[in-house]
Amino acid sequence: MLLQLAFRNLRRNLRRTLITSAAVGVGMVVLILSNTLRAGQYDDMIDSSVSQLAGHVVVQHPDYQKEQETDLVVNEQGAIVSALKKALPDATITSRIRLGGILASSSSPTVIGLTAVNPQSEDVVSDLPDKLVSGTWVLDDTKSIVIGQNMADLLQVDLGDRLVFTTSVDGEMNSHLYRLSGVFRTGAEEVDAFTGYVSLSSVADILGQENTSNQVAVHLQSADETSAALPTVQRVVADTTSQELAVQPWEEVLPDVVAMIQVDQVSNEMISISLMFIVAMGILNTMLMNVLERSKEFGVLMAIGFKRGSLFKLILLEASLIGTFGGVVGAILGMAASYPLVANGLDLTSMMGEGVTISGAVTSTVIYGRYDANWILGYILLSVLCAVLSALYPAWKVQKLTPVDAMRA
Amino acid sequence: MSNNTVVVTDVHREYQQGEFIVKALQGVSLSIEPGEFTVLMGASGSGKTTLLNIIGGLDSPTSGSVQIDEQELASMAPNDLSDLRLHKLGFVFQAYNLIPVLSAFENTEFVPLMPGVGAEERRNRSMEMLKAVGLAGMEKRLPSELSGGQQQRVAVARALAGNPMLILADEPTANLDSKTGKELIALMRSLNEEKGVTFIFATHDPKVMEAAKRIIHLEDGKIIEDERR
Repeated sequence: MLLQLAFRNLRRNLRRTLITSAAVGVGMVVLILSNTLRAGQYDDMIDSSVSQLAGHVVVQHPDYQKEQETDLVVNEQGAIVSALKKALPDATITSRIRLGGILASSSSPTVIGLTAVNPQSEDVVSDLPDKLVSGTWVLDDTKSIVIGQNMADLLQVDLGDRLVFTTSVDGEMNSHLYRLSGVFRTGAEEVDAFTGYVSLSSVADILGQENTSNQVAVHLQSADETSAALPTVQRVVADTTSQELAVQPWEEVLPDVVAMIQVDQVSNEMISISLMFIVAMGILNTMLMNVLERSKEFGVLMAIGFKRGSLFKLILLEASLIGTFGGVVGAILGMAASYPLVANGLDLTSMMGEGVTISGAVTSTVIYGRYDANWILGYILLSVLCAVLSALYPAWKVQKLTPVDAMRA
Repeated sequence: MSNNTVVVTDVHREYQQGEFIVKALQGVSLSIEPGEFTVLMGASGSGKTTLLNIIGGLDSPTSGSVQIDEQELASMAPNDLSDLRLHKLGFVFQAYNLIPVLSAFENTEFVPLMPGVGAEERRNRSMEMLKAVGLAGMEKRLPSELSGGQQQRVAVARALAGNPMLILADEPTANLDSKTGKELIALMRSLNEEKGVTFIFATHDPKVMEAAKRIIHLEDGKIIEDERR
C-alpha cells in the first residue's frame, strides 16, 4: 500500500521528481567518471610498480625490505624459482638483484641503478622490452646491457660499444665489462637517465656468489589472486630451503604505492561526500517543499486513521525511490559517459610526457578507466542513503503535526 | 458509564492568536446517542468545526473531556487515536479531501486496507459503498475526473467503508450546488436510517437542518439551544 502510494505521489509531480532525481543522477555521473578514471589509474600504478619493482608475492631476505643492501640475498633462488613454477604454473617467477654503481664509457662515467634479471621471465612481466628504441632486450649471457636513452646519450654510446660497470662489494671495487645491446625510452627522466638491466648470470662474478638474488617474485594474473597465492608461496619456500626468508604480499613490499593510493582514495571520498552532501541538500529542499505543499493531504490521511509512523515511512519511501531512480539512471549515464575513458583512455602525454615515475616505477600517461562494480553499487546505495537521510527532517516535521494543524497548514 | 456514542463534558478550547487568546469553545457539554442525525449549527466562528474536530480526536481540548464509545480521548496515545478513527469514526470534509493519486475505488478501499482487511472483503465492501452513494461504474476515475458532488460521494463512501459507528461531516454540502447537496443529504439520511450510523454535521446549510433529528445551536463557543425533533 505504502509503495503504491509513494509511486503515485512521485508520478503526480513528475517534473519535480525528475528534477530531484536528475540532481542525484548528475552527482552519480561525476562520481562514476571520477571513480572509473581512478580505478584505472590505481590499476596502472599497481601493475607498473608490481611488475617493475616487486611481484604480487615477494620472497626476500628478512632485512632486505628495510636495508635494501645488495648482499642481503635469497641463497637458493634457482631451486625456489623451479619449485614455485611447479606449484603455480600460471604465474611468472622473476629473480632480481639490484646494485648501485658507476657505468663508464670511453668518453664519460655516470651513476647507475643496475637491475640484474632473468631476461625471459622479465620479458613476460615488464613492459620495458616494449619500450626499446634500438637493439634487443637483455640476452641470457654475461655481456649484454640495456640502458635508458638519456644515459646512452650522456655516455655517448651506440649499440655494441663497451661499458664498464664498477661497484663496491664487501669494501672492494669490482668491475665487469658489458656491451650495449639495447636502449629503451620510457619518457620518465629518472628511469631513462639512471637505470640499466643485465642478466643475473652476469653479476655472479661481481658479487662472488652464484645462484643468489635479492628478490624472487611471483607475478600472478591479477593482484586479486595475491591472498590466495600467498600461503602456497610460503609453503613452497619452507619446503625448499632452510634459510629464513620473508614471504610478503606486494602491499608490504610497496608501502609507498599503497599509501599513495590510500591518500588519494581518502581525498576522493571526501570529494564524493561533499558532492553527495550538496545533492542531499537539494533533495532536502525538494522534500521540504513537497511535504509542506501536501500538509493538508497528510492531515486527511491522519484523520482517516493513517498512523504517524506510516506517514514517516511514506515520506522516506518516496525519498528512497527518488534516490534509487536517480542513482540507477545516474549510474547508467555515468558508465556511458566514462566509456570513452575505458575504451580509448585519457591521453595526458602532451601535458606530462610519455611516462611518469611513481615510487620508482614508470607508469603510462595514457590512463585507461576501469568500471568498478563494487564502487558503482556503493554509489547507488550512497545516493539512496543520502535521499533517505535528507528526507528524515521533513518526515519528522510532518509526523509532529496534529491532524487539524496539518489540514489547516 | 453511559451507552452514548459521544459524551462531551465541559470542553474548553482556547487558541493563542498573536497576543490574544481566542476562546473557541467555552464549557460545551453534550451527549449523542447511537443513530442520531445531529447538526451543530452556528455562524462562522461559533465553534462548530472546533467541536467536531475535538469529537473526532483531530484536535485536543484545553480542558474538559470527550468520550467516544466510552473511551476517554485525552488518555489515548496518538496511535490509539489513529486506531479509534480508523475503526470507529468516518470523516467527510467540506473540501472532499480525497487522496488525489488514488481512484474512487482505491480511495474507498484505503480505509479497510489500513487495518489489513482481506482483499475480497475489502473489494466487496468498497464496491458496495460506491454503489450505495450512486457511483457504480465510476470506480476507476481519479478525483480530478469527478465533479464536486461525485467527489463528496466518494468521501462519504470512504467514510462508510470502515464500518464506523459515527460519521463526522464538516460542511459537506458547502461546495455543492443545491440539487447535489440535497441528494447527498438524502443519501446520508438513508444510510443513517438503514445502517444505523450516527451522524454529526457542522453546517449552516438549511437543507441539512431540515433533515436533522437534532439541532444544537452554538454561539461564541457555547451551546445556546439543543433542539430535538
